[in-house]
Amino acid sequence: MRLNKLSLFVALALSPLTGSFAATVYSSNGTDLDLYGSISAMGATNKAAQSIKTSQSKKNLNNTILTRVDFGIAGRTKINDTVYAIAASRWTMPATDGNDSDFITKEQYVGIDAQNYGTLTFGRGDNAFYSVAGVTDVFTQLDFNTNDHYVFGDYQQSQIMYSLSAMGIDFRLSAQLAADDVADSNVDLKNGAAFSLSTHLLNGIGFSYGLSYYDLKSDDSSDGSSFYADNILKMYSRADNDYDFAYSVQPSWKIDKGIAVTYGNFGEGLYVATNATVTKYEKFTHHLYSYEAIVNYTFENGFGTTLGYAIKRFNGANIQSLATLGFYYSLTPSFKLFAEGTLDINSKPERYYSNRQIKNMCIGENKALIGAQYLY
Amino acid sequence: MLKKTLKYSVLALSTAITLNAYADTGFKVPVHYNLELVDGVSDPSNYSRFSRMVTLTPGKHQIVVTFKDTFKGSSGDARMVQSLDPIVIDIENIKNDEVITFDYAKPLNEKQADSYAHKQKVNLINNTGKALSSSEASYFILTSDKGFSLLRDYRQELQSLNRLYAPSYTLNQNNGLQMTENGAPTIKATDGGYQQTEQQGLALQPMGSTDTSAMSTTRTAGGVASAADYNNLVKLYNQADDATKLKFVKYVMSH
Repeated sequence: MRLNKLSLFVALALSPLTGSFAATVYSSNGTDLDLYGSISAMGATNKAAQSIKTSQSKKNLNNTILTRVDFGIAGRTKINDTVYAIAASRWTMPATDGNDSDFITKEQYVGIDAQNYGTLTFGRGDNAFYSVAGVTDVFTQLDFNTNDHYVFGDYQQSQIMYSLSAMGIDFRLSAQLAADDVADSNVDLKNGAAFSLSTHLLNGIGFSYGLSYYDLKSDDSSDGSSFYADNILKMYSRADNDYDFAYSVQPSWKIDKGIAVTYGNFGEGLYVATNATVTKYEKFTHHLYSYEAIVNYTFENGFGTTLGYAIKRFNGANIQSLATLGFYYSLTPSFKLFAEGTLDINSKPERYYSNRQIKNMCIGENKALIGAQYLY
Repeated sequence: MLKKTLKYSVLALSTAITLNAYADTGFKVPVHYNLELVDGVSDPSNYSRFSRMVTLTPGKHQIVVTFKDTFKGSSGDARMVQSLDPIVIDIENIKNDEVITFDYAKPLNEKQADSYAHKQKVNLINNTGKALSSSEASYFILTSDKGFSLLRDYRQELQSLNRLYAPSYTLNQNNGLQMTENGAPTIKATDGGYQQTEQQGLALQPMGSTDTSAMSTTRTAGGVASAADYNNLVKLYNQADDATKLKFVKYVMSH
């Protein structure tokens, strides 16, 4: 969902708090109102600039400086001793090489927080499977996209989410109602559901298991514009323009199943995380597998480094295979310097993706960027 | 070239680790917390951001810290979470070679951080891991009716509660006429009302056996106080909080 920039500026102008930039802006008598976000600027190689999620431009930028602004607002009001009303919304204005950038809506929900009885929200956000897919999501910009969970983007509309943390176990259950063009991916959903169970033991080791199901709408177009047309033609070894065939075997459902293991807390000393996911689409010839692992160490003085490796496999080939290295220094909680680079390790994306997809997603490319981020 | 880069990287890392070592005596600011005041002084020179250590002299001290850091969210983006209310730690008598800090249930994510920011239950410990008794150190969370975080002035709030320990800090020390770098006169205003006229942190000096300070004017008609009695009075005075000091000064002036 994209908002007109002017409409958001109007909304901000109407808020009496826009001049007060702090993580917690107001808190009194059981009511909290937070404004938060970040401003980033980064120099990036052209492939990094084209591929990062904050960039809208897919042109060859020949090394550039990108900027990104995040803005979020969250409210929390006490209803009684155990129940709070909550709401949050967050937008990103991604970097472009023009002046007509849109705001992209990220999480956006209203709900209730019943504390020991759990939290229920309605709106927009990631689903329950993020507890598995997100454990390696620690890079500032060059996060892995190897997990097929992200094929619909990391923020999906029409979600109902229930989460409960009790006795050391974190339980999440999400239901997704009908949605069109999920995260601008040209995929329509009838509905979906996901759950995850996570636990964090006293010795610092954490486990997560999750499952996510999507009931996909049939795509009416048989002109090759459907989201899976290119992949279907590849896996069935059909001619590039045999779109009638692609239309006839389009999947009507998808299931992600995965586990994750972590050690430590991200941001405090050693943090290690790994996950493994298998994705099954109806009528696909093979399953998709993804394996991700990262090792992070953050010193108390604010220095940190992360090394990660991820692969995505289909039909015996590494259709994505990459290693990412990042260095970070938080001078204060509000100011962070970062540098990240991704190295492609002999991936064979052509075994699953079309040339158009490979170009648009910048798969199989080396990428690098360096930047600064101010958080509030 | 790569070898050289690697060499400098290892050197920088070693330096970081070395500087990270504990100093001898002081307070170690736990991760996710930020130092606000040390004995009433903001941004003190005895704080190393690199090692997160406040170097202290043995004796009584007061530390004020706030919970503020970035945490991973339930979706892809991290978010800064901050507690509006700081933790005030009163250290009664830190010993030489003692490092005081606190541990707490560290949040794993944004949601837990949000929840923790409203609770802030901590355990004060020293560098041996021993939990400190209330006679050694204690803490409280400083809350306020002011809901806006930007309007909080922790020093003034502590002073209004007579709980500020600031032996060397003088409130309003910069409130006189000053000049900008362009030569324009400035006077800094505060919203603390009449309390701002207090001589915050006023301390008297004990006198020796032959000392005759200006405080000798406090003698009574009945005789001359001995140096020992005088020093005891000075000691009591210096131990009192600032409101009591002011009350005492007013008493002396009115008699």
